[in-house]
Amino acid sequence: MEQKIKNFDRGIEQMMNEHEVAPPFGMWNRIAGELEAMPVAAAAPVATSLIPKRAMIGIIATALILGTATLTGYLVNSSTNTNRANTIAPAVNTQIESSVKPASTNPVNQQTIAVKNDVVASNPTTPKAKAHHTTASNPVQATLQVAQQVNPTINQPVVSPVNVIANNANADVPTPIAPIQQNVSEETQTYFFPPIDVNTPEKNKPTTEATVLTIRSHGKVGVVAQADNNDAPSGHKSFHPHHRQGWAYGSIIR
Amino acid sequence: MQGDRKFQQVLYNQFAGKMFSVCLRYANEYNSAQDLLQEGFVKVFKNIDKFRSEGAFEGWVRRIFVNTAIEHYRKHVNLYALHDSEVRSYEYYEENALETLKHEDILKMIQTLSDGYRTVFNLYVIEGYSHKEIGEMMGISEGTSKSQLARARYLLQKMITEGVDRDKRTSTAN
Repeated sequence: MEQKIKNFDRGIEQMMNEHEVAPPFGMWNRIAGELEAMPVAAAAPVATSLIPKRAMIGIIATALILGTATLTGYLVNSSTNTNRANTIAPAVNTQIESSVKPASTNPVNQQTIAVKNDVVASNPTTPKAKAHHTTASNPVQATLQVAQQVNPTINQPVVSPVNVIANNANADVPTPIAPIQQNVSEETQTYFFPPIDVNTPEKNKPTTEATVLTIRSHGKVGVVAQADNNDAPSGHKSFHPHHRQGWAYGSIIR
Repeated sequence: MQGDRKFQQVLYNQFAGKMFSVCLRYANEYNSAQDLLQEGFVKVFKNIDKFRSEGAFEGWVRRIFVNTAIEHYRKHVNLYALHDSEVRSYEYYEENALETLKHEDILKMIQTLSDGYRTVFNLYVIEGYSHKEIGEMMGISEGTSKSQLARARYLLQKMITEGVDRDKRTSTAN
């Protein structure tokens, strides 16, 4: 049985291997066409490989580094500018404050304060107003301190620091000069220039009316001058803001 | 040498007949054999630089074609072990039956076999591979290869015997 099968297999093998079958017509052209198509497909990677991978990696890495450096530099620069602005801003404010200090100081107030101190020093019996020597650089703050240190009386209205700050003219509320300035009548504030008569000789000119006008117009200055001279009686030198209505500067000169 | 079209054409003209016969045995029809022939020669020209001259060049080319056929039909072949794995023959088969048939007749009978039977029969009987090698090449067990071969052989002997008997009747009638 097995020999019969072996003979069968050998017969099939010899018949198949010894025989050749003619290939179909045009098969070579098909194979050649497929082989020609393959190099084209293989040429594509060659075309893309004109730039080596290492070069591409280097270019990409360089671009990343440059981009990162640029971004970092921009961020650092922006943060530095912000710090500069933060450091400059207080300096500018300080400068502004220091420059505002002398400008905001009212010369009239300085003058009145000086006069007040002189008057108080010359009359020891007079109830002295507290002299506040503040060295604060900020005039608003100084005004606020002065306003806070004044003890308000019953008749004197309480001055709110807010109002004091809002109005610098009231910064020297405790001084007697401020009420004087406020209560000067319109008649005394009005300045009348005396008529000048050129044709009339100097001897014949009436002097009385001109003197009165001068006194009225310079009533405030007259008080200051008299206080400086220290010749007037002490009762006329006391400053009572509550008795504003009773002040008459003209009588002092008379 | 890989890009030399003339050299490739020379190789094609030398081995095309034999390789097309191999393709016809592994394929179930003529068109499929053409596809196997084209695919096999493309692989040969593509991998010709890998030939080490350790054996015959024809054997190397033939092996490429066989592997191409196995890869082509491996997707469609679902082999399983048969019960009649014993080496047996068709009871009415006569040993001199092959002498009365032509090559084309045997080739057509082989092509009528199923893909599994045909592949195993070609690999064992014609190519000379063992069942172990066939099992490794096709991913099946040796028992499956044996049973597939026994079934293929039985069917072929039966077809050959019936073909011879048909021819005898035809000649007697004439």
